Amino acid sequence: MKREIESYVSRFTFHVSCLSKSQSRALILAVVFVVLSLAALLLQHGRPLPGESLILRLLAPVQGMLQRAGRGLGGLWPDLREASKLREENEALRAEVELLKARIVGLQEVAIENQSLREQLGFQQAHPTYDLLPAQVIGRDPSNFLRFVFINKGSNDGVHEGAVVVAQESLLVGRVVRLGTNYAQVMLISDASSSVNGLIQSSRAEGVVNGQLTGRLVMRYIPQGELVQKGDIVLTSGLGGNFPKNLIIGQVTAVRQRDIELFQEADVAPAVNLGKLEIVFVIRDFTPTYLE
Amino acid sequence: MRAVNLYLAIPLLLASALLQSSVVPTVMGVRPEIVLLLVVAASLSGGMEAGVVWGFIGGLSLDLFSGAPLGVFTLAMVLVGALVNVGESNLFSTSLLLPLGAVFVATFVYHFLTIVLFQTLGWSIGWGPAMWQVALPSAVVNTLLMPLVYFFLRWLTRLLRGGRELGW
Repeated sequence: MKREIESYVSRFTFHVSCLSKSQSRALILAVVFVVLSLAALLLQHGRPLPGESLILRLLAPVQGMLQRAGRGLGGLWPDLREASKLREENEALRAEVELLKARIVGLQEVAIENQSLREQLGFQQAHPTYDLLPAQVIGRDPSNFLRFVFINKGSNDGVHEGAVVVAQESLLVGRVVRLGTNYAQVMLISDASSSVNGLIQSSRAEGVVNGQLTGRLVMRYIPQGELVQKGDIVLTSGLGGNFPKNLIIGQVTAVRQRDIELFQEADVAPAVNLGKLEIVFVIRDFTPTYLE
Repeated sequence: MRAVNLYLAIPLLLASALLQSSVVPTVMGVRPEIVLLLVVAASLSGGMEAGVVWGFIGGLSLDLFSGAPLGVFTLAMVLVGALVNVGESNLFSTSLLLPLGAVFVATFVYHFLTIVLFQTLGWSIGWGPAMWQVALPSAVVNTLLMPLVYFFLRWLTRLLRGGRELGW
């Protein structure tokens, strides 16, 4: 073994001596940097290194400012390009608003009736009200493979690792995976390594919702025989303890069912546009359960 | 232009990583990789030594703003910075075709290395979707943007160094 190592070292030294001064210096630097990178990968165990947190803490406000500036500039071109389309969309939306107003009146009646029945029965609300902390999205992952965002709230604001992040109170966005004092990094449900236990609202069929590289979601492991249709709403099932029950994940856009397979699969469109998040809410009073 | 100074590399690459993680919009479903473009440009114009150093600083900057474990992008960028220059660029350094071809290939190599590292660390990233849906559009977008970055870097170096060209 010792002889082999000596042989490798002497061969490496010989090759280096054959190179020009600049090339050999580059080669040595490359080896040093590769070793340093490997050491960082092996030593951190998922936690940020001390210097890393400090730099991010300092850069988080700058990142937030840039993100805001970018939104302002980025909105100009699409606005100009879609002016005529927006006019038509506006008219359609006005008509829809009128229709929804009428429906709201009907629903308000139902809500009053429901409330009175609950009071009579002493019924506990199925949807608890959470302690929601509003946060601004200040940055995104620079890699095209990963779907993470930075928010401008951290441990100083009561955010904890594993905290669930939502939009508009009940639309699931992701969960906090890394924490600084004034920032937190959130893994979106569309990240390829994200998986959430979900259920179809109408049929109560359960499955696992995974993120895709394209930013879409796929619900897997839906048992054969369960009725799944386009347009069905997918909610969190609460199984596993990582997410609260009944948060809205998205809507089924396509179903793949083959008799020769054990499970069905469904494409799910996220309930919120995860590529254009601006304000999100961190659920502070939900602590995930980690099963050992 | 032979290369670019280290004091230019640190702020420029850190600022680029910051921009890439905040302002830069998606084109064809992917975000242009400015840091990779700068590393390739520095390697082509400054030699392997510059490529390796710029790769290290650029990769480290990306790691800072990423959810990936620290070291993934640093390792990939150092190797890309070194490999870009293996074919000895002096012959082509005046032609615009070299940076275009180099960045197209470098994008694939960079994504290939990143996927290998992610998979080694147990992250679930499939080869097919990663290469077709991410690496290919990224290579196209990066190639289209390369002339801008390449000439910007040349201009900046000349401006800062008064026409002289220095090692990193």
